[in-house]
Amino acid sequence: MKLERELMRGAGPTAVLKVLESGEKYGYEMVQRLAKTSNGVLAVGQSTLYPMLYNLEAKGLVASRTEPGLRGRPRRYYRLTAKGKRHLARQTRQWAALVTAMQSLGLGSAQGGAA
Amino acid sequence: MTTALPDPTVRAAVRALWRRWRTTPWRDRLRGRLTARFDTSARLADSALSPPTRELIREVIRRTRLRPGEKSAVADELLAHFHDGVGAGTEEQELRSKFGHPATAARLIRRAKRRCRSRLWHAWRAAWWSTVFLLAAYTAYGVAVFTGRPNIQTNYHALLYPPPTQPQEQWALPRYEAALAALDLDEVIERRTIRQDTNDPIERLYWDYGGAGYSVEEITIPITREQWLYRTLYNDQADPFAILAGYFNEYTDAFEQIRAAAALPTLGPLPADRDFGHYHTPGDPAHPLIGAGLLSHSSNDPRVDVAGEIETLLVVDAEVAARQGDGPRAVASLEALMSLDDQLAELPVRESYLGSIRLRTSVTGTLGDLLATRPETFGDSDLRRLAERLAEQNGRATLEQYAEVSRIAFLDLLQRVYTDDGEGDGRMTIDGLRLLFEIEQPAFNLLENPEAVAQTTLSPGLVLIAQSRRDAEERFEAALAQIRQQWDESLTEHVDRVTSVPRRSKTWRRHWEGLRFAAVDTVAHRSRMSGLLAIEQDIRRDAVLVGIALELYRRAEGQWPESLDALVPSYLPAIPDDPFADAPMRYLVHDGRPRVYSVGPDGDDDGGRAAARPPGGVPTVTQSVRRHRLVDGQPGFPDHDWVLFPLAHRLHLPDRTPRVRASNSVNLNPW
Repeated sequence: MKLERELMRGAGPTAVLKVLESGEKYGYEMVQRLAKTSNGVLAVGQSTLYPMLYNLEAKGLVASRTEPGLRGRPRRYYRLTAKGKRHLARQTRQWAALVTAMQSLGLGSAQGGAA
Repeated sequence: MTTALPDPTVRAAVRALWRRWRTTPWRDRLRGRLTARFDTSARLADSALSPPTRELIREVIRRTRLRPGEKSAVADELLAHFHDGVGAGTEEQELRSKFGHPATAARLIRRAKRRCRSRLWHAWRAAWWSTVFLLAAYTAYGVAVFTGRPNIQTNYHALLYPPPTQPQEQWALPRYEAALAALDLDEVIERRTIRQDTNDPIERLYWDYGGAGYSVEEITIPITREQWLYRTLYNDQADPFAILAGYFNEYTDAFEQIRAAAALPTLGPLPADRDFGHYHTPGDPAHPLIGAGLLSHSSNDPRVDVAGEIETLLVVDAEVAARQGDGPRAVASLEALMSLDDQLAELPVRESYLGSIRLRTSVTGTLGDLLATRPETFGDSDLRRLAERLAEQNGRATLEQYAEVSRIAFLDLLQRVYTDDGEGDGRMTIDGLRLLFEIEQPAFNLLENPEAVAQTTLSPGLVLIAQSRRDAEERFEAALAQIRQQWDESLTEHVDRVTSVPRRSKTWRRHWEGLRFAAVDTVAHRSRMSGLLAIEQDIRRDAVLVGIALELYRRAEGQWPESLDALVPSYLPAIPDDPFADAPMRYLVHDGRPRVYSVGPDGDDDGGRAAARPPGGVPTVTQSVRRHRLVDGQPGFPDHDWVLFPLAHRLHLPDRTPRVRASNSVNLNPW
């Protein structure tokens, strides 16, 4: 299952930040990690990942550096900034609250629908 | 003949060089190194990816329309992405299919990358687009403004200037003009050389007003008889009337003609066969020569100028005749002055009203002066007759007529300045703005003599802030109601009001209001000042009437009365009020001469002590209020009285600079 665009627009950046919490990563690595850990639910469109990263960089939530990668080709690694960590912590709390609230409505159950 | 084509290898080398130049950052170029660090094509070509993948990346990069450095970074990232994917065992085709549409990717990347740019760039971009937007809006508004035109529908001019009802024989204007021509005023009587560094105040005027230009050190100018006359009068001669007596005695016929013309009931219309420049009486109310409508006419009606010249000549003639002991001639000239006032009152324009005030000032000034210095000029019957005519002059009564004329002038101005939506509203037009510039509204002094381009550029902005036609009319009615209220107040009330309200400072707000309400202020300001002039003239009239009564009493009783009460009712119906006290005018005899006075704006009786010669010889409210602010830097009025009879000054000449007679040109020559 894939999330609808509007839902993904809110969840995507937070998911990317969460992936980066464990350490710096490059683009394709993040795509793979997101798809794998979320069973494809949070599979970010590859053409939208990079704009998302650039936006996060513009907001100062992530920073990047370029390193020689495979066969000497430049590869850009992204990492969380201090501001990004604080932002992620806030987002985490909000998401937890949201999930709890949705579950209390029965939306988090396997059957779905209202209790 | 054949043309040798360049060697293909040379062309390729040149192309490669150009390509390296284009893809090298400025920093490297300035160091003389063509690094081609931004050459994305080369990087794509060097990659191990398949042509479709390379084409996909190229397409995305091309569509981003980013800076070379940004494109290069994105290209590196996407190349790394696909290489990493291939390295992880994914097929290129699968990677391409999961990548998404190049156009979408390019659009998102472009948007995100631009967000990463510096704050300076964002500020510059915001400023740029703001400017573009404002300019576009201003231009669009300007186009709308320039297409709006006033719609002149009512011929207010015809309303105020009905066709003459009297026969031509009753028209005074042709006779005045014939008399002026007979006086040889245009005859050149000498040629004078004046230098630019002259200290003579009148000669200085000649240079200051640019009459001689500024590129020469000295100039020789012809002096006409008219210039000689005015120079003699206004150049502070010891006794100008003695100098002028010979000339006035030589032209007694012309003065008889003037006095006879003054006895006629009307000035009559302007000759239809003469060009009077801006002044015009066309049947078509939208005639372009009508200029600034009634307001323009008010300052250009040649009849007012003719009346002004006749006024000066009659004043001088009365003074000359009195000095020669020719009482009847002096009285006849004074009566002619009063008749001229009646003729001038026909012209429903502001200048005629102000001209009338000026004329009355000349009459009271000359009559009061002769009464105090040469009472033998007048017989008893002369004095009674003059007093009777003088008492008929009522400045306050004519103000109402003037108020109506002001309203009509304003309505005429509105239809020349605003568009007309047919429901009493409209917006300011460029034509209207130009008209207001022409009228020289004080608020537009900021834009005095602007270049045409600047004026055109600023005009839509001024139109934007100007009030609507309906608002203008409402504001004018409110202003007129307020002015009428002020006309009814006493001088004490006037002074209290003016001195208690803080003077409006010359701030941007004043200019702003002036710009917004220019059309209203143009007319209202003139009306406001006229009321004060009328009130002050009535005070002078009352004082001279008391002076006449005192002289008649002295002749009958052989001495001055103990108090003014003795004059009532045989010589005076009632003692006029002191304009600054709830009491009659004050009176005393000093050095064997009577003195009639008001306590003045300070409100206390200083025993008839006059101020040191007030400007123009007559104290005015304006001068008093101005002094109120200047007494040792403290609020208060100077400690003296207003001596109203006899007046302190020697001459009572019309306060005006000479202008040429009925003509469309203005003579700046001060002589």
